[in-house]
Amino acid sequence: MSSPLNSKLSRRNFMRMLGVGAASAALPAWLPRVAAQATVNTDLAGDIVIWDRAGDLFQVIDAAIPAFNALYPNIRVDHQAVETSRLAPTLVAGVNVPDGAFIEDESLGLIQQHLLDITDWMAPHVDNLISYKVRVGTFDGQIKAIPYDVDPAMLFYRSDILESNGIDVASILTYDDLIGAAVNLKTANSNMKPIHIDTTPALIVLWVSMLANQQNASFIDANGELTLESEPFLNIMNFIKNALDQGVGNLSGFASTDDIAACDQGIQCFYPWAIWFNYQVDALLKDSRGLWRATNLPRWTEGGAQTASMGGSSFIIPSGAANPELSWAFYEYMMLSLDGIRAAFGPNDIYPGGITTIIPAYKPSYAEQLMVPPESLGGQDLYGFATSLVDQIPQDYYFPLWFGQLGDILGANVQRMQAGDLTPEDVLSISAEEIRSNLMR
Amino acid sequence: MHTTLQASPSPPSILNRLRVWLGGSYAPYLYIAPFFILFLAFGFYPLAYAFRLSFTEWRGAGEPIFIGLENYTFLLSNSFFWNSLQNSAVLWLLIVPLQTLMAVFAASLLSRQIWFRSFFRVVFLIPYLVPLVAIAQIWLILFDKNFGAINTILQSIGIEPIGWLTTGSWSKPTMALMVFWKGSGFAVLIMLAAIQNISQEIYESAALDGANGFQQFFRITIPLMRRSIVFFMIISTLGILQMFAEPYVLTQGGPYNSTVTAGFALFRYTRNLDLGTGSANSFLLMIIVVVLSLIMLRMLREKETS
Amino acid sequence: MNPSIAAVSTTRPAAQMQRFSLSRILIYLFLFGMSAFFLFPLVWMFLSSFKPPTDIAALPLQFDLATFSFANYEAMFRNVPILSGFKNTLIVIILKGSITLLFAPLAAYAFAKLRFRGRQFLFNIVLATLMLPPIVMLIPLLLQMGTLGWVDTFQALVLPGAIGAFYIFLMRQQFADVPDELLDAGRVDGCSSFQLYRLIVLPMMRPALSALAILVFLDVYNDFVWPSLVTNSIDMQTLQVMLSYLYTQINNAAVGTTGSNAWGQVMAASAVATIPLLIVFIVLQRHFIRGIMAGALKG
Repeated sequence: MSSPLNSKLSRRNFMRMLGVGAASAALPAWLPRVAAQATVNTDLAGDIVIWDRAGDLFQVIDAAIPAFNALYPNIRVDHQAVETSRLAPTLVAGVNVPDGAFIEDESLGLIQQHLLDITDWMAPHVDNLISYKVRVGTFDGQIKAIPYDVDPAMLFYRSDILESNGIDVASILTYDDLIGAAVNLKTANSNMKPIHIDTTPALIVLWVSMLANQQNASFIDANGELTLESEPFLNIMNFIKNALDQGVGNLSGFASTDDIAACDQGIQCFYPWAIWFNYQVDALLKDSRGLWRATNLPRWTEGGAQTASMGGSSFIIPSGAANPELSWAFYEYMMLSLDGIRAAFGPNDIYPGGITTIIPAYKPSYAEQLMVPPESLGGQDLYGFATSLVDQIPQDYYFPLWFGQLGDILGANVQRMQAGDLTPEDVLSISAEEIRSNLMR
Repeated sequence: MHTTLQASPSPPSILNRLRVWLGGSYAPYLYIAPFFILFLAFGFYPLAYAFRLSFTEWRGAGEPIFIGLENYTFLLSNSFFWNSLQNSAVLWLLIVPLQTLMAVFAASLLSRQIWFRSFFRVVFLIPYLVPLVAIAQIWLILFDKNFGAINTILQSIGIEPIGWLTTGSWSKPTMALMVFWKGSGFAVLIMLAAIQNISQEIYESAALDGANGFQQFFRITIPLMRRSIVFFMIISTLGILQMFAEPYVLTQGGPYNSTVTAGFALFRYTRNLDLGTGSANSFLLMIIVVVLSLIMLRMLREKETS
Repeated sequence: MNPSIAAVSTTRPAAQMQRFSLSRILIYLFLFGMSAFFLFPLVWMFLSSFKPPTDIAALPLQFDLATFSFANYEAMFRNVPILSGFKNTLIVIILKGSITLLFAPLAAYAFAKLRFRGRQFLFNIVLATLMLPPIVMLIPLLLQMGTLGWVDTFQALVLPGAIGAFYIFLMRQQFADVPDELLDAGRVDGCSSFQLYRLIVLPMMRPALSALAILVFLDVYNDFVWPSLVTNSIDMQTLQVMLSYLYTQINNAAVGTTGSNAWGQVMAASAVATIPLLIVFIVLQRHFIRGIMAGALKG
């Protein structure tokens, strides 16, 4: 096994040396668009294999490749739709490794040892990116991921219900205010349970993670220590418990039939969720489509953040890639230039109104409207609103390696609390114990 | 001189003696060689590799770090590991006794001259042929909580929708049903083969003694088929402990780890690139499989000698 | 002829026939009930594959011939190059099947009928390999394929797991039934051990060999874990790999949709994967049942 390993290492060093050169050669792409268009790069030549998740992402990126080739005519992109789950074993085996691939942020840690350190290449772009995204793509001080999307959380609400009940959403400043407003609504309409509380274990974890991120906390700290038993998480558990105790929390799973019915029938009218809740409003809700609006999340503390990240993905370049400098040129164009971002996020054949469920992590794109204000939200300027929020996302976030397995522990224990079997303190202490003995060493 | 001359043909005689010692011919070794060559290349090597990994911490990159027995002690003190064994045990209880009994009973019927006999044989075996990936999809859709046909039928007779694949209490029975559905035809065939070997006279003399069909089934059929039953149970036990494709395609081990079988648990470590722990888990599972198989074989032998 | 195989095809003496009675009715109820249980999911799958997506969810048990169409099949065939999956599966079946059919019976013959030192010990090794959970070897094997440069090749799909220990085990049980007198007679006539195998054992063991062929066929056809790890490019994917990705792809695209939009396609794909096996089964039905029984009996 030692020989392929050695060759990989030496190749990696070699690439790093190359990287310096490539970054300077590719600089124009980062400069304003006009300059980039003027410079057609014929020096970079070769084939790259790019893996993307099958479905809309693949189609959108695929459609943008001709524009990339107009700038880099000598780079041939072999674009393949490949399951994300195939990446890890391929990287370990080190054969047929792609030159670039798509992956969810939470999985970056699992494969980070196999990824190319692109710190130097990324350096000129870092200030243009949402710092949270740069943070989750950084391991031991090395940047190893090119951000794709950022998924800010917001408070979705039924504008019609709030209006008819005389509730001004601007008055909801804290999570206590949210429960207060919900109690008022319930007093007026006894069948209402205004606040959505999710019941799907994996989504419970994602949601708790988001609410923790909002308080600049995560399941582990920078040193990898478990931080579950801390105030931010207790705040979250108390909020869930409190909402349920007061009878204002509606238990359902995102996008389930129960959930859709509860939204459409006005049983729940507050949905604190990532921007991609708009998918549910747009595609699944029949009666209440167009009645929903988005505002910022309530705050946990005075001056605290009004949004947080819930989901998100990136692109990586494997350290075993054959042509890393070429795939870097590709990603630099697709994700770190206005042209690429327009193609990937803005209106196109696949999404005539632009993507309305995520936004780019590349801040220069926020100046222009890449999303037709969605009718699902009554024509609200979702792009403008979301982009105004994302810089607030607290950046000290660390995904544990076992994030994907938390549903079985934390998700299950939160469910037990939802059923009334555990107290908020219990959820945290039992989960922490189970995490320590089963997932950590 | 004389002796050295005599010694000179001794190399062939050593070979000769070797051949005699081996049993007279090299040919048998030649016949079994392809298996052992392939096994050494693609079985033993990976196995030895995995065994070495089981004493290391390794995520697929860099040099594995030797950590002694830590992976093993970690697993043995780990509730997930024991939970996976417990899940496999529950699945075993849900599947094997009922399937065995059903198979013996169905085989005893199908060995008689009854109408539609070949129709039944064909129908019972068809599920065995359906690819697992396809079966899982059928199951996912049939047992969907909101739109599945099963809940729709139940609702029409006034039963509330059941979360077949979304609640910890129903997921195991639902998965067991899938395994039962797919494997029963094979079980029936095994039993059918065995039952054909039972001499007809035994039944006839039993019938003369006034034993009814029920008594014949329990007093003659089952005892005489003990070997096949134990064989089938060993295969099933191995299969259920190592089973991982079924949870992989149906539930991914969820909800709440309720369908994480012993096999799926170690697959999960592997998928998360925790290769050291995954290997250690494999070898623990292997020990369990070997011990269980030996126990069952011994029980069979004791019964037969007694 | 293996007596057990002969027995399968003979029928019970007429004395066994019972008259109509309550128990007789119960027996048929049981058998037809089980048949319904075994057939229902498949019938439902075939019907659903011809239904518009909305009907699968809305009226799971009704069907309206007027709405039947091949739309799901057309969409599914557009989504995946399923024919190339069939082709790859077929190639693997032929290659892996040939290797197994050539060498597994030969090894079984040596273990069952030839005397040589270490026979029991070596056979115990064969049996011991049955106890290994195959999953333990997946990643090391993948690393090995990487070192050999075999990822995405037919070698990688064919060689690991060919001549499986279970096949040797099954065949050995069969070959034990060949009367030693026959072989001794052959030896007296000056046959080598390979001639004995070719001229006496193989012709007698045709049913067992067809059983083996069928088992290998089923195993290779249904395998998807190893093929999905060791193939990257869509040109090399076998049918099952393609299907499992098709399913995640369809289900991904349909996350949170009212559930049923993609079901028609999923069922069409399942039907397409099942039909070839059903055809093979119906054509070779007798060999199939006899073969598996013959293999199973001697366990």
